[in-house]
Amino acid sequence: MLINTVLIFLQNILPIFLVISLLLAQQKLVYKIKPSRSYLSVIQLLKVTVSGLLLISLLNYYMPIISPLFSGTGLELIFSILFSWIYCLIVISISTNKRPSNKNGINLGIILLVLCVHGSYFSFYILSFTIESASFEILYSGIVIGVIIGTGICFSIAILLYFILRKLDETTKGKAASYFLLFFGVGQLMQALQLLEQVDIISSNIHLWSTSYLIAEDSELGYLLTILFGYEATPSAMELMVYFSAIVVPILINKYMAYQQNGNIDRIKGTD
Amino acid sequence: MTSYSALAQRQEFIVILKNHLFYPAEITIPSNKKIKLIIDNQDDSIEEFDSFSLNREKVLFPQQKSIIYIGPLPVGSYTFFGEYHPNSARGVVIVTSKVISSEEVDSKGVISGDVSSTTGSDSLDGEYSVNVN
Repeated sequence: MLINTVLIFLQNILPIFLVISLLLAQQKLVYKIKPSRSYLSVIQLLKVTVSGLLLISLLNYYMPIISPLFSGTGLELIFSILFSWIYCLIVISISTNKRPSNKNGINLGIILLVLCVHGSYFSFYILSFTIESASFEILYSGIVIGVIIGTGICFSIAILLYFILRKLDETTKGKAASYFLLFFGVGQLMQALQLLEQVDIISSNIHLWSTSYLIAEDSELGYLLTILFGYEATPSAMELMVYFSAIVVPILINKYMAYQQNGNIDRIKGTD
Repeated sequence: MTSYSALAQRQEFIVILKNHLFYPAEITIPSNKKIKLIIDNQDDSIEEFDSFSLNREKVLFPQQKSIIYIGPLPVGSYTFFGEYHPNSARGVVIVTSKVISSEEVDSKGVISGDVSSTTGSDSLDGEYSVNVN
């Protein structure tokens, strides 16, 4: 039970730690550009966490009612929308790199959504034991210790990722954190797609290949790659197409916007 | 996108979750076809149906039936488990190229058969069985 708790904790809570780490690493660049602007503070993170926990409680209460709606596809529809919003907000956050005033709100929105979506899955696990009226010893040895170990692992990976990105940003001029954040967003979008495939709203095709023998999705490395890059051991053609489009399209739009902005600056300089 | 007529034609398979065990623990489905899997959670606690090989993850609320679609899949075996009780709630989907005869499919499209071969301590009514070997 202890190992299972740690595994479920890592699967569901690690994305929350990683997204905070990615956003903090990405904001470091913005902070350097305009130091007067407010940075994601501990108070803001605490407020978002409390709001997120309240929303998780609400989701927990209403999910059994939502689940059978729309011929049993209610939960998948709601969660696929939430996963898609995370991706959209991440794309917007990356695009507003030079406008820190809007950035804090968007980043807090991303954290809130990730907390709600992934936190609610873990809360079901906790809830399943309270329904079973498990004894205090079982709850303590299985859940509490598991959560403490899981939190320690999540903190370690998040801190390590933050410093790796900071180091990479020195050589890539702050682009590494943005790309990692985009990959994280694409991973969330892939989860939305899989949920829609699961309830047959989107037609799934035969898997193109399987890399399970190299990196299994249920291995520790598989978990990390799934969260960070949306790793899929057995992708379908549709998933592959969406994956690459979700990466390429925002990059191209950003490049085009940057090109236009540079053109405008050159024109202004020319008129002076 | 899938049309509603196509959805209606999907072959249905039912798996019951009781006392943290799947009945039947082994289901056989045709290869390269999408099927509808109905999971009936008869327990009083929440469970999560999980399968890495099938790419499926579904929260099963107590006393509720949940629906997921599987396939099209190549011939092989695909394991699934209950994430909250992975030691007891385990099962496997066998994908076979064998043609499932019309006698094995009742008027509702549900595959029926004998559950005596399934694992688990409690046996259930044959109506819900899906073992077509």
